[in-house]
Amino acid sequence: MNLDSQKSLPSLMTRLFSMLPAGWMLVVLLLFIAIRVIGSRSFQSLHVFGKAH
Amino acid sequence: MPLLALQAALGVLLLALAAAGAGCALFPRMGAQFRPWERLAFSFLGGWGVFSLALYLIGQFVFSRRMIVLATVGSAVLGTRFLWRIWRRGELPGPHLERRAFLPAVIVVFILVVTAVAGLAPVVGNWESDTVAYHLLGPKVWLKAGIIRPVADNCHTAFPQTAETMYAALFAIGGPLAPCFADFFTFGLLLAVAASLGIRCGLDPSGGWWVAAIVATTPAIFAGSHFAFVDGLYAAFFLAAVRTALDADGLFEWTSFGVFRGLLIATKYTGLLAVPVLAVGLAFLHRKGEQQKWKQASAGLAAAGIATALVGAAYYVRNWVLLGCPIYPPPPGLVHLCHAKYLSAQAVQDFHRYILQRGAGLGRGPLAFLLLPFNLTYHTANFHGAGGIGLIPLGLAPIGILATRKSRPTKLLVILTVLLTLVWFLTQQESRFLISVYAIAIVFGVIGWRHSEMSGRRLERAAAGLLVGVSLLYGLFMIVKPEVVSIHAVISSGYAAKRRTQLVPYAESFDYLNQNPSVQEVLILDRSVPPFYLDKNYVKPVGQWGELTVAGVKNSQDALAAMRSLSITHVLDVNSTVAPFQVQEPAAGLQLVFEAENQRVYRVN
Repeated sequence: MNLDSQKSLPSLMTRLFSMLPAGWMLVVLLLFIAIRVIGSRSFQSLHVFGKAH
Repeated sequence: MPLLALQAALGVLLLALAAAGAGCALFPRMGAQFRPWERLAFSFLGGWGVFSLALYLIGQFVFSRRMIVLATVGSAVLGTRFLWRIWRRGELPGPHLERRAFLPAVIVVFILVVTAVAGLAPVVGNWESDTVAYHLLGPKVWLKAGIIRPVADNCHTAFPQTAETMYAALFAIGGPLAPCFADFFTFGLLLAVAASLGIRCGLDPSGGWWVAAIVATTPAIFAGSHFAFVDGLYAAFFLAAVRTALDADGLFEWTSFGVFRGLLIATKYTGLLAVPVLAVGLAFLHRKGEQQKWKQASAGLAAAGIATALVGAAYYVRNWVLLGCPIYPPPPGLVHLCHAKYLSAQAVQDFHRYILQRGAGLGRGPLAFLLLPFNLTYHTANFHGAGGIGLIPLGLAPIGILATRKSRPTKLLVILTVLLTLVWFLTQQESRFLISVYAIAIVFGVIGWRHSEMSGRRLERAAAGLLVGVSLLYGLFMIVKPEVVSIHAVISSGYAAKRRTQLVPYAESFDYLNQNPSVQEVLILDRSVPPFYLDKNYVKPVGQWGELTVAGVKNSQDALAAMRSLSITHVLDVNSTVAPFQVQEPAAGLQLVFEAENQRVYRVN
């Protein structure tokens, strides 16, 4: 029985789980940049962002 | 312009002092959980609403400038005495600011200064602008008539009028620029109440400042809080009601909650849906309490119910008596129960169709509801989002909610958020109608940011900081860019005149009619003409939403035939997107006295 591998799986899971918030924030940020750029340059007809009134 | 700006500043100062006078009872009686600055902000906010209600009630009988000045000065004297007393007792919040709060405080001050200065620009816009179409039309007509009555040619002037009554008082005391200039004050109160809620949810004072700064730089919130829009004030009342309810214990605190809740339905019809939402949220919050506490809360809720009804009833009873329906124009459920004066069944149906179409968002199915956080962040224009809500609600609020999921305020706020969003989703998906929810999401966003900062994980800290930075910069850009145009109009009279010619429809005709002393009563034939710009009395037989304001007159030709019995001296005829010129040349009994592009003014011989 490999004791190291038994220990490493939960530890890896914990580590991955702890990275979730940062990953989520970066996805939100990257999506914003991507949609903003695409929205303003290539797909203006989508009207991704509106103007006041 | 400088004199008008000075007059506007004086008007706002007097009305703010009057609000302090009307709300001063709150300050000493609010619980110890409230800091002095919170008590002061709640006193101003409650006073703003209560003073408006008092003016509205008196205004049903007389609404002269003299009455407004007398009432305002009387209440302002009380307010000044109250502020003097708390200053002498050392209870006025001092200028001390901790270092961590410096940056958000600068952002808040910057946005408020932009709001104030841009608010001094002369009002422009066509009938599609709510400000021009009804928020400021009602107040202007009431002052001319000397009484508060719905303006028959625009049914929206029968909406609850807490904000509009104050605009009328601002017009009367502060002149034409005062209503939009005052937005910085009510917007500031919204920021203060949001910060107070953030602190109640566990943030420190600098966290409260960050809540205020992020709320201030959220474009959709700003859009509903300036240019005489009422959504920001409505959200401030909602958040104040929630904040008060969270610590309500005694009868006075519950009554205060009831007053703020009443001001909700006295500001917007959507408040009628927020009241049951608040009831469900509070019932959930108190469900596991001891029997004794539950009894106390029940007694408090009953007192709150009475306060809510007393504050809100006036607007609905008045409509019922004068217009045949408490909610006017009647919603689908009331269409068959009451007959709405001036509105045909077809006009009501068209109005409902318009609301459904405008508020369709990206659909009304279950998937569309689940995708709302994403769509409101990235597809803001589908909700008339005016620049959106930034990234903090989507990126950080979930973390804040998870981090504080067991706390009492979080449970209440999550329930309120879900229910309010559901109600909004099923009725009209207009972004600015959801400002309360955005502010709550921002509170959780700042909590989430703090949580990430304390996590000890460098990547998470960096990602959170980056997200907040990008969101703030984006919000500032989206807000300041269009306001630069307004600020330009404030500092350059030449540019203001050019802007007026471009953005005020039929400005030349309005100038002619306003400056010509022989003009007494104007007949407006086209429903798209905004009478806000006309300083003279007028008759508009067919209103913006198809209102028929003169018995027996259903169209322009009927109106022209009836003009003598209506004592009309001049006729304004235009070639618009709605209809071509209505007066056929040569016109019997009419003489063309002014003509410009797409506009003609006739004198009645």
